Amino acid sequence: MSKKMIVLKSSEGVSFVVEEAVARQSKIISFLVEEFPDRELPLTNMTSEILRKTIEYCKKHVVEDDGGGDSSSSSSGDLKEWDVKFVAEIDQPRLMDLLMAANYLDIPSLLDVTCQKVADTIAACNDEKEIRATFNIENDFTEEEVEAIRMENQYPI
Amino acid sequence: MATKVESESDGISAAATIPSHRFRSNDGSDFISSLPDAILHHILSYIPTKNAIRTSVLSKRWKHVWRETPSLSLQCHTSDHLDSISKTLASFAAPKITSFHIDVTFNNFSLTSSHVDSWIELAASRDAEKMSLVLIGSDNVFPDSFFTNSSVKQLRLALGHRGSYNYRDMIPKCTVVWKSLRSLSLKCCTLPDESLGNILSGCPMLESLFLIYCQTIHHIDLSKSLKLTKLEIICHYFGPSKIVAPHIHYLKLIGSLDPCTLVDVSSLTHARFSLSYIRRTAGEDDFHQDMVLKMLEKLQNVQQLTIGPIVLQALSVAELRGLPFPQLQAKSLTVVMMVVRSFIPALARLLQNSPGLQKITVTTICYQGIQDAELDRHLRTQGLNPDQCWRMKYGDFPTTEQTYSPPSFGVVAKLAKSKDVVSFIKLVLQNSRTVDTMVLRLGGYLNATEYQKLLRVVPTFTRNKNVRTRGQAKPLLDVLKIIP
Repeated sequence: MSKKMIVLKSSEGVSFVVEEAVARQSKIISFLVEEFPDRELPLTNMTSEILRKTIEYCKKHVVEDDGGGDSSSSSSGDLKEWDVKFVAEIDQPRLMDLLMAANYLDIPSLLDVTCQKVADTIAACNDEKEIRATFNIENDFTEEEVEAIRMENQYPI
Repeated sequence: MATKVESESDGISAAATIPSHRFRSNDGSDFISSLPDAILHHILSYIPTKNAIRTSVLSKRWKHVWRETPSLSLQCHTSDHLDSISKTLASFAAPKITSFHIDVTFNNFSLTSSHVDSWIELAASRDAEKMSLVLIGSDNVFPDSFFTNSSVKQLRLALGHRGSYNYRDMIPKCTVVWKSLRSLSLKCCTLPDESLGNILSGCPMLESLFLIYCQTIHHIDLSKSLKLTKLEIICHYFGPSKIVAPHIHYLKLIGSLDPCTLVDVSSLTHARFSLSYIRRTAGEDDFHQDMVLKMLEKLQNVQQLTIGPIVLQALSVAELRGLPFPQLQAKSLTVVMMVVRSFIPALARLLQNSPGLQKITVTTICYQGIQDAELDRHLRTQGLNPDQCWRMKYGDFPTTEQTYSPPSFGVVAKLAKSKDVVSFIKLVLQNSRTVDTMVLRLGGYLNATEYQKLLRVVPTFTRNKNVRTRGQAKPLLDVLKIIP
């Protein structure tokens, strides 16, 4: 059984040969494949590392329509578990890259899991200081400004 | 996988359509703040609104971000919270809300109609597709405007707790028009038949209906709801007496002991049937054997069938009395039970009457169900000798009392023995020729020593010795898969 393969090229010029069905989970790639068939698709703003991760995700999530593959026959529960593990293993800067990749390639389910992971990280922080420290956010407010915002948003915590 | 290839760009490169800026976060820099608003809103939509609001003091970039998160999730447990919720909602600026969840649980009645009305109005004005309202401890009625909404696709209303005897009216005074609604869940509502009829005729797109601890429903008629394929009913004390649902494919019914008739469930392929409560009127209880057998008859074309513990025990009594059982088409049968004798006659009969069965899943529980003494009392009223009934065919299995150590929290059936589970596996294999997979979810039913014993013994009597286990280290995850 021969499957149609396409070539994706990272910013470092590394080519990845991927089954078309796998890559088509990206709406952008799906569009490009139709516009430029039989061509390498240069993804000039994605590093090899992130592209490899993205392909790994897409391979796991591809839905086989010929029923020939065994790699994708996971149940939805197993798949969810796999997703959680997948993002848990990634450190934060790379998670951000992956999130941007999902956004840019338009892969909604990958965007969901990466955003969920960032949200969980925010929710796990005890206070705003911890959020700032976790994400290297610089506080450009004065004490008074922070107080004023707090007064405005008196939602009980 | 990855192959390194010489890179060479040719004329009409696809890169032309791709923005060329590179995104790469450097360790140590603030990357999250540079994300577009739309992505930050997406991120914040996964956390409760109070946590999202907290981000407003992070930096100037973040001050207003939360206001446009397309999702609201608010909890309110004292009357002080009500004012701050109103304030929060006043500064909320998202033009469209995908998900609106509000949970108000009070002990006093300080929630007024104007609060509820204003929330409903907000959700409707921002085209909320998912609405979830938990309103417990208040006594308001929904405004008429609530019942006309063309954007809501998923609606969940919880108006009380289980066992709190706290039911609230869900009685629309006007014609219901929820023309986009796909999924409706109602919990602890007083819902007369006419109101349910009104709701159903206003929801032409409805696919799933969940009725949880609702009272005063007598007759559920879904014959006009052509798209409704999934029905779940969980009863505590009060249940429907008649269900007409010719189009549903999936039914979960955890019934009360009010007798219930499945009039038409002819399209059903998946069903789960349990009873949640046994009315104990000493000596008179027949455990609704007739009702349970009639239900089973209606479920005979179901492919995937799950049967709960009290139903199994009632069926066991019916089997001992020699009542006729229907033939079943099930390919997959799941039973929730203890490995004790009061479950065995029913299981043996179900297996014998399921000639196409391929898979059986046994989920063990540690739960007394109907006590053996009660079952015996009933057998005696039928002129049967309980000792004889059990001993003849089922003497290998222990009684509930021999297996279950009465309630001490967190302690499971300490007294359960691996030899009983072995007898049970043998009984299943003897009673079914077609089963090719048996899954035992032991979930801590056996202690670690007994479980290891079981693992050693099982391969000695299954033909191809193909026993798969998962989670041996943690008894709570024990799953034993046996291929006979």
